[in-house]
Amino acid sequence: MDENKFLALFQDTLQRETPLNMDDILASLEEWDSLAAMASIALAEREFSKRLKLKELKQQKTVRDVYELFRA
Amino acid sequence: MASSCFSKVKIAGISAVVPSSEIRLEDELEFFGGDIKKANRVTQIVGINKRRIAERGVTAADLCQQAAENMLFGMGIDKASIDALIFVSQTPDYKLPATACILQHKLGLSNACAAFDVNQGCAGYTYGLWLAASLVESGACKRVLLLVGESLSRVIDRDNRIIVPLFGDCGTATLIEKSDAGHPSWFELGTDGSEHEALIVPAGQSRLPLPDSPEEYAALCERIVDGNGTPWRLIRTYMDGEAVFDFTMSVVPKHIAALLESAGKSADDIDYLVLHKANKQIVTAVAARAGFPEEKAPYSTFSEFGNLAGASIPAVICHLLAEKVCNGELNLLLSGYGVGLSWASAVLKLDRIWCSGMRDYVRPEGHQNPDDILAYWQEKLSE
Repeated sequence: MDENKFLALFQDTLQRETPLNMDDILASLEEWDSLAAMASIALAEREFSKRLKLKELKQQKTVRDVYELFRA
Repeated sequence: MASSCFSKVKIAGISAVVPSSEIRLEDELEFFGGDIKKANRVTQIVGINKRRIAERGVTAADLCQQAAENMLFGMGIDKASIDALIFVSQTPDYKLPATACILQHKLGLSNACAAFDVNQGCAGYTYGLWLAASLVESGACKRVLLLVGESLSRVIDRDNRIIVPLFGDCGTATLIEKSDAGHPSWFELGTDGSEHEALIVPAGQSRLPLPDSPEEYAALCERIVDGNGTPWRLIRTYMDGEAVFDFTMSVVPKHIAALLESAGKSADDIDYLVLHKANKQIVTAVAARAGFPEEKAPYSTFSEFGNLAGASIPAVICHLLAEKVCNGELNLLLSGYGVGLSWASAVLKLDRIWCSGMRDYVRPEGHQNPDDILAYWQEKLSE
């Protein structure tokens, strides 16, 4: 999956109106909460067949980190 | 290992009752700083929307009693033919006696009927089915009435924005009986008590008992506010949502795969994966990880009625599958998981059973409120 498709999916997962950038800091996003993290685990499962724990996901700093983690 | 196969048992009927009073997320905007957009976002992400809450004085036992009355009357069952009544709940009427005993009397079942409670939550329906099926398969009973219901709204701090919007109240009844049809059913159950603090009511029983004096009681009622500003009270439900989510994702899909294997079936053989409706993300993620397409794992019952704990599996059957199970046969995989932590799942066939759909609770005339009951006891003891 390319970066643009990921950004669109991740934005939808967070239910955020403003588009995301790869370098956005997760902690600075108002929508980055425990619900969004849970939804992101499900996204990783569905779109990347990637099994993640919430703890692993929450250690990520930027949107790019999440993308890399999903693809790893 | 709690892995069982039964061949002389069937489910003959399922019925569910919910309170008629509905609360919508938009009625509680105080939980979202008055912002409707924030509330809508929660609906979009986890599917929380509407739920039914029992009015004051109505308990899980009342909802289950009505579900049982609807079913026994609808099926024309002779009440004397019921050999055992199992009430599965975490919100019984009293610390003692068992609520099942009171329901035996209220339902007019025979004095020769065994009646007992089981303290189980979200895995409670599949747990109860396993128990009931064991009783029938062994020949100990011919007919078992399984009542699974919850009025968790009674044990939740009303200001807790994490838990309040999540849980709804519901009572269900299921009739399990001896069968010669030869449809086997498979069960697997498991427990991890090391995580028991992930979902707990810390105070009020023997470990942290209700004290004798109001002064000491005050500490148990005190609100403790966590780092996110969420208030908790020891006499009410505490939930570590992230721990529960991680547990579910790491244990349940593997457990489902193991059950399918022992049943000699694959996801293709199952018409519906009826998962406990914890929330939309958990249902879709568990289904994906277990290899089931989304359309086989419906979750709309959650958005319509909330997380119904142990009652959520029979509620899905009544809400979404009633017509199908009344008129034909369905191969189902039922899976419940949560408080304990416990998990229990079953592969079984429902073949032209009696199913009521979801019905609203009708409060009987003269039904007592807590005030009436308090006055009753004050008078009775001072005589």
